[in-house]
Amino acid sequence: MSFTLYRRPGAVVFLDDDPDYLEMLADVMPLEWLVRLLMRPAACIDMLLAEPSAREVDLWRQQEIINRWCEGFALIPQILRYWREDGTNRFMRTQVCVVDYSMPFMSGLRVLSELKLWSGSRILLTGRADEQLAVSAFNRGLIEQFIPKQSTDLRLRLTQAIQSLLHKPDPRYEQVWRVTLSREQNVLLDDPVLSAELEKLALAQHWVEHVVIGAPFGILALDRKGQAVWLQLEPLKRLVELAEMAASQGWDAASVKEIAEGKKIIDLELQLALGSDPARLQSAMPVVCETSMLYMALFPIDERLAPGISLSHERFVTIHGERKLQD
Amino acid sequence: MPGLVRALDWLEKEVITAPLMPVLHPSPLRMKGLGVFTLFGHPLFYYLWGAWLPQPYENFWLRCFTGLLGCALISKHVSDRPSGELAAIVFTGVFWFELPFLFSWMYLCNSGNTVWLASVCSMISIYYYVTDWRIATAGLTLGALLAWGLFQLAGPAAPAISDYQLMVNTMVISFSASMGLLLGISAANLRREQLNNTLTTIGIMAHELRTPLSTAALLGDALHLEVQRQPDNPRGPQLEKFALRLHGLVRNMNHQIDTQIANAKLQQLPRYTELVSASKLVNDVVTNYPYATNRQRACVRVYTHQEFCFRSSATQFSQVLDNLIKNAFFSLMAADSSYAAGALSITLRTDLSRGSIVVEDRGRGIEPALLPQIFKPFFSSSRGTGHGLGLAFCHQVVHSAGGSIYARSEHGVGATFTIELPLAVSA
Repeated sequence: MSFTLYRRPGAVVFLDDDPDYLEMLADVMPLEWLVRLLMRPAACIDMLLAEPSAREVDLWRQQEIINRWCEGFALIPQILRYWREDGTNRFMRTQVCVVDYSMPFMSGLRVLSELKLWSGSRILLTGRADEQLAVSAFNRGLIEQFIPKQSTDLRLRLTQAIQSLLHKPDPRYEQVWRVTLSREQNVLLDDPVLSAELEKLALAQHWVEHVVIGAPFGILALDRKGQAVWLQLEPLKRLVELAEMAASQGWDAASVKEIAEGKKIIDLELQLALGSDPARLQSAMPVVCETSMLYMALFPIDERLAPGISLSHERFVTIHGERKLQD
Repeated sequence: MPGLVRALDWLEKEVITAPLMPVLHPSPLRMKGLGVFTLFGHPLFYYLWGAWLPQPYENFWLRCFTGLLGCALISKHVSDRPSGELAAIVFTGVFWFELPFLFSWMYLCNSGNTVWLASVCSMISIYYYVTDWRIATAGLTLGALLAWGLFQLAGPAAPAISDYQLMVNTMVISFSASMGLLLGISAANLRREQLNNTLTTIGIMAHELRTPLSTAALLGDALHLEVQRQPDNPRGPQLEKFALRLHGLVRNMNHQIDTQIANAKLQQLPRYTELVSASKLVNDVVTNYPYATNRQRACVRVYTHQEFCFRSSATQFSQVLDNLIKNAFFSLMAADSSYAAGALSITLRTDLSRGSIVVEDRGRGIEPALLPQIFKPFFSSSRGTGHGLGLAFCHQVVHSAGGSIYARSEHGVGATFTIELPLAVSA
């Protein structure tokens, strides 16, 4: 599986007619999620159908970044500014909607069929008797997944299903960012070994949002505390070029040699994009991909350029994340 | 031609698919009552129409013979098991002889006079009332034809009937027969509808319990998470135990609901032809069964003499075995069993063309009188605790797999349920 080019956290909506059930769900879902609990199908439909226009505006904002990049403006400072200016609005949007099949007045499938214009992922909760209906809904593309309410480890199954849908790449966003990547970079990102390594790193570093760009090649990411970090990716055959750049910038011969050998990586391009700070050397982590070698290194980004703790996802969930029933 | 298709569908459902019920309202008392009426009714009517209010024709020996047929209905083998196969055959035979055949014969020999016109009409109503409308219709036709044939061959010399009277009699009898047929069909339909409604209600009830149950399971999860969030809490292990208990309880109840829903779908079971491995099935069921105690779990023994495969639905067949195991435990509990090892055993073996799964318990057993009825819907040996659909479900599933299920039991010693299935060649 290819590594997602643009990922961000979003809300999870549960629609069920049983308040006790919703409240228990709220108690057992991971604390870092923004969870909304709804009892009325109409309210749920209204809320979700209000989202596509905001999504279009956001996509257009990102497309602007790409357009400006084509005119010669660097990507990284633009993306950082976009994050700072957006604040936390983008975290509000719902990514996964979990609907109960059997509700009075309106079946879960009716709700889902009215949500066709909404772009998020859908999960249907069923009882055993409705399983056939769920299968046909799945086949018709109304839902991504269905989970029987009586499954043992319901919480685990539900959490895993939602987690993987939260991580599912959104094709429109992928399309926007794909253009910055060269063909070789695309091939590299399709590599399963590299994908797995990057996922592991994202988890270990508590990244909540990231974007993969091609010039310079790497990943700009935000962690849950709102700190930005740059993961520089260097394919083996670029090392010589990078070493030459370091030499021309006046770096000592030992460092230049380490860069050429893939022991260290230098963030010359990041600093070039951001302004005047001196470039830094970091130990490189080698990744043995299926076709070639790749080296990567993490460089923290100045706190003043990042959204920071006040606009962080963690703070956002603390403020907006109270899980109470909306009627 | 959607109208024709609908009509054909209806015809198939009402005439062919609907199960045949030779004895309507089978009860021992009713069976005995009908027997007594037959036994004494015929001599009485011989006196009535022969001596007191004499009619042109009566037959002493015929009346005696028919009366004696009543003894067959009263006999223990028939009246004690009114739903059994023997009762069905005897009942159908006796009533065919004494109703359509005898009445048609008497009608012909008495030249269709007032007494016998009225009697034939009553007979038609009675016949549709005691047996399945399809048997009644076929029986009436056959009885009338046979009586007419015999009358032509060896009947007494009866005065001919006028054309006018013949037409009148034909109209009256046709009216009686058509009403009998119509009401017979609609009554049969109503009986099936009522059964279906009851089954649907059970399904809905079971289904409605799902959400509160999964709420309870989530409550267990919440307890568990709370313990993880406070690793130093001294009562943590105790809370963890409660969470586990709650989960066990929910699993058990969901299992019960699954069984009840499956049982309630009795009438609309889809046919499956998936290849099922008997030993895997049995082992899965025995492993996943929600035992009430560890002693219950420990007493189950599985003996696989020969492994085999058959075609059915693994899910449905798991429910079949669940039902049988549940019944066996119920019976063991009723017998105050100490759950000795092997108190419940499941044996797999094959002969030339068939594989068998034998579920045997050393519990209370089943009363012999009840044995023939246990596979019927809503029959339960323990009124008040079971709704009696489990074995009917088993019967249905096993039959749709081309197999058969039967029970042997000795009261107080235990019961053996044997499922025989046609072998499938494993792919």
